[in-house]
Amino acid sequence: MPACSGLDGVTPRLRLLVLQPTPFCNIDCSYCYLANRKNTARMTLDTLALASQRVFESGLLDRHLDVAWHAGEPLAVPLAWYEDAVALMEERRPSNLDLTHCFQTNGMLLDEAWARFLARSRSRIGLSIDGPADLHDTNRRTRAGHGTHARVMRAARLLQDYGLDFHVITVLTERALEDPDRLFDFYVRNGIREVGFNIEEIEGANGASSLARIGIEARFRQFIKRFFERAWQAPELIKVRELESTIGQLLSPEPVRDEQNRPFAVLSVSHDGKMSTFSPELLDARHPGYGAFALGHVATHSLSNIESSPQFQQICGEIRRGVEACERSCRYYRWCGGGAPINKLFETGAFDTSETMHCRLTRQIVLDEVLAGLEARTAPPQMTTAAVPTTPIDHNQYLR
Amino acid sequence: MSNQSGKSFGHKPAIVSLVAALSCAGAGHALASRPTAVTNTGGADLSARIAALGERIEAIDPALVRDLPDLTNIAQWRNR
Repeated sequence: MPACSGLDGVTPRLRLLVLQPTPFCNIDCSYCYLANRKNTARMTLDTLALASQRVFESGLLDRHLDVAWHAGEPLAVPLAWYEDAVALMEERRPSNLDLTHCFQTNGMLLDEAWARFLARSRSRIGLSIDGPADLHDTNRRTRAGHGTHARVMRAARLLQDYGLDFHVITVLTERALEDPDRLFDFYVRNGIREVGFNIEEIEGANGASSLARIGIEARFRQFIKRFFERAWQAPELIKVRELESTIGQLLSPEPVRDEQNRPFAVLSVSHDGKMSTFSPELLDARHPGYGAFALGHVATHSLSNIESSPQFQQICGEIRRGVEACERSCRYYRWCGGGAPINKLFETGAFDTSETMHCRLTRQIVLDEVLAGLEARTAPPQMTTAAVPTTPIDHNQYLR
Repeated sequence: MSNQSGKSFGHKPAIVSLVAALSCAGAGHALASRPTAVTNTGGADLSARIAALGERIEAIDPALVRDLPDLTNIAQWRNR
């Protein structure tokens, strides 16, 4: 068995297949990490068939697999192609395997035909919305420089008209931290019932982040604290991904594992058939110290071929050492699992390192605030020392 | 996102969440509406604080801990 192994045959572990239908994106967000987003190439059905074969024959599957169409704007590929693609995968999947197709989209091209397809295919849908128009349009613009807020909100209303559940992912930048109440009210007033917060990351083609500035961590903490407070007081209105997942991890008897640093928990396939594992963003990334991260090709490599390649062994070994460094040095490790390799690479220059801005903001601060909030709400009265006045909130305002 | 419920066309289920479950369970203990408070955790070890929290939540409603979804201990990729 190779020194760094993911295919040990003990535990089915492939949970997420990321397929890049195209590297192209029809907009040009200021914080985008994708270097090739002007490339209009598309995945062929032959490539998809080979990718499906590699995955379905891998022996790594349990009974469920998420298929995320990502690493470019997925709706930039015609709907007719997805009709064929979903049918192909449905036809070839093992009979005991359930697939869930996931589309995270900027919403610009979402129309009634797409809504009907998403409903018919029982897909999971996410819209990328950064909040009210002034926040959203600061960073999420067309190549001509126009804002995209009006069109993504039209997409949200269309999904609502069709009765389709969807979540929203918001990328937090420095400016977004200014007013958590305004952001909360925006979601609720627009009927957005599930939200997840990503951050402006230093990654791939995006070499800097407004969140890396001095003093941001305290402001980020205040944002999280206040937003969670609002969400706690109105759980019937909105579900916050970070709040839910952190509570689950705090209550879980098992240590947290991070699927991004476990070989073959995630498999990513590019539009032209290249395969990678670990963080999906590695698929499109290049790095001076490593070059590209394509570990094989669907036409020529099985997943076990990839595992035995020197490049995989090098990357896997370094990622493992990075996780071990986290385990030795970080008190949050038990509830984190060792962090995302892509963020370690682009923030520190290597995989075998530990703490990053990404983990301080999205893991440590979030855990601190969720834990403090839960302690405050579950402690017997005598354990609390000083009630902190909270701004009165009239949630009936949303009904008026 | 981990929520996989309610994908059928035209069907809008109620939100089911751990926060909602905790609020509901805590209501009988007059916990959910309590304003945020500063807890006396000065210097307490993170593991000890989390263990104590788990015990308190289990005392409020054992099902909240017992019936956690299988995937709660996996940090999932953020764009799913």
